[in-house]
Amino acid sequence: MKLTYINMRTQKISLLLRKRLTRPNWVKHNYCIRNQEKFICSLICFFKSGFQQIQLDIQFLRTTLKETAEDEAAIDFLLDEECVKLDCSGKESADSTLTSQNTQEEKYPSVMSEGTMAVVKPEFCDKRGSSSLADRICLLPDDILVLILSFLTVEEAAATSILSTRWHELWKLVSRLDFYGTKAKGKINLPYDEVQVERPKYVEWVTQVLRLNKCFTLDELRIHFSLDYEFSQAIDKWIDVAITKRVPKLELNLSSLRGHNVQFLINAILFHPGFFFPVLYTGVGCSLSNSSKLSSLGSSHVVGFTIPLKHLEVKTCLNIKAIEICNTNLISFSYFGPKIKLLVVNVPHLVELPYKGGVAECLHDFLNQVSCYLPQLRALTWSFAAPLMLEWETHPTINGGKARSSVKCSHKYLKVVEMAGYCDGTSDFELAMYFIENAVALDKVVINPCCQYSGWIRSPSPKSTKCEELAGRSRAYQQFLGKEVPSKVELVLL
Amino acid sequence: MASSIENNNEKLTLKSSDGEEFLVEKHVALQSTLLQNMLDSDCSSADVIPLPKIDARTLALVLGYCKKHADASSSKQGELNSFDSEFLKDMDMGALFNLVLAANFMEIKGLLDIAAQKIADTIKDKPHQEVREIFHVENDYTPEEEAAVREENRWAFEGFP
Repeated sequence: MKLTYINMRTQKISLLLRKRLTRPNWVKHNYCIRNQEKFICSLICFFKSGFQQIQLDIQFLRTTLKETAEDEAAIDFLLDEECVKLDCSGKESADSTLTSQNTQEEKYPSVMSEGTMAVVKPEFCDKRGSSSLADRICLLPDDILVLILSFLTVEEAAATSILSTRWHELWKLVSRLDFYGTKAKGKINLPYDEVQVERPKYVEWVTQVLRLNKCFTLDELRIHFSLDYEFSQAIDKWIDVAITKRVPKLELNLSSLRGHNVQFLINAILFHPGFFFPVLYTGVGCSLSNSSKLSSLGSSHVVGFTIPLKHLEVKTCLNIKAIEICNTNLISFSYFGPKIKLLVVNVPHLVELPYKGGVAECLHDFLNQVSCYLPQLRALTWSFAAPLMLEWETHPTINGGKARSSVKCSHKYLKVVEMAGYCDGTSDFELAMYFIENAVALDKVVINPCCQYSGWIRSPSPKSTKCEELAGRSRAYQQFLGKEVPSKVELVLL
Repeated sequence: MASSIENNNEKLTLKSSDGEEFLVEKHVALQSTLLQNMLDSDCSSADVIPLPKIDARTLALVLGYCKKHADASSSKQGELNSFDSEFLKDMDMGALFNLVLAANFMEIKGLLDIAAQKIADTIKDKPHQEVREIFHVENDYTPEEEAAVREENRWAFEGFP
């Protein structure tokens, strides 16, 4: 019998998988794969590709298996007796292991099903004796059944546990959890009093299902219900789960559809989907500072190492006090809302920073950060809502001169600065001049006196907006008239 | 026919479990990750590739799907979507199960997803008794156990508590 030995220490899985259809009879595997799900996937691939025998060193699964298996001794037996035995013989003479063909192939599925992932099933229920599959769903392997369940809502999937003992645990392996099924949809629209009654039930339900779920990683998690600060602890826990299970697509929308309870629930944090990246949308009401996890939602905890987030958008979160973005590979961050403390540290890839909202007190610090920590910034859009403008204007610590002198680094890559909601204040002008003087690569400054983003806060009457716009425009014109603007910088006054 | 596509006149032969051979253009075969990996590796395309778990009827269906998606991959998505829904329409459960297994084996994600979705739609909104009948699921719970399961996740059967 032909024997192919593949050393997995030296070859990447992908290489190995590409080889699999050359149909070796035997593969040795003692490569400790951290991602167990990937490991299982590659196993499945091996099974599919018609190996006669697969040898694995899966000692590293011992702890995990023991945690979930009922009979610890069985795990020990399988890992020590069976695997080691085969492993030894494999070292001596590979051919000798071939005497027990297929035993290995059957063994691993059984080891796996002791654990949480009963996905490997090379053979279907042959004991039924029918050569055709007929219409018996039981003849499908577990991983396909789980896939089927993932197209159902959580309730529908869980309801299949009643079908038979085999189905009892299957729904807990579904990696796509949608808590916005028909029932939740119905209840979110109830009158306010009734929604209040439903809230704790919903929270308990989500918590319970997340606890029962046995996936190591989740593909999608969608939670949508009208909730407020009362439940921030539970919400923290959900976010914890999302982080541990490395959900690439998380949608957390806690705002109410009908808009009741507006004072609490206007908040929304939108983690925009990047390329294939996550959506996180949360409308957590109330002061986020009360909830440690949520206040760190925009910080390294979530944005950082756990989720490969590329774009982060924070929108109308009226109660956010501060956002910290640390140690992430974020490419763009946009903020739209009232003034906050923004701390940006070690975000080497951030190149876009649209910032819509008042920055008042923190403008000074912010400018410092922008130049010191974000030298790679390429686009900066700044919009201010009119009411906050005044505050900003009169704030003693904010004046262009100070900002200018305190900032030492220049912006090497900043190309475009857009200032929307430009008022006739001196500080606006100073700010614009600051960028013109400090951003060496700048080629465009857009001064936009229109206040487009005032929707989230008392918006000024159209008439006054018009006046402000006019005033802003004429003032800006005068201000820039006598100033020397480097010829390569295009100054656009809208 | 596929003259517009360069180097794709190569064909390979797939052999079903019941011995029937299918001659497939390479770009059609590439819809299957399994075959793709195989073609990427040194495997000679002159070989007959046995697919021991897929019968001729299912394989014909699978290749029909692959052909449509390979030929139309750059054209309108809408057309493909309507093809997909038409493709599974009126298919009996047995054929559907065979198809889902074949798609899983050959790693054709699109087909796997639509077939699984179709089966899921059948389960949706049906009382479990009916689901058991449709799929021939043998209820091996004792009445006590069944009651316990129902109690365990009561919300699943009557909405969240």
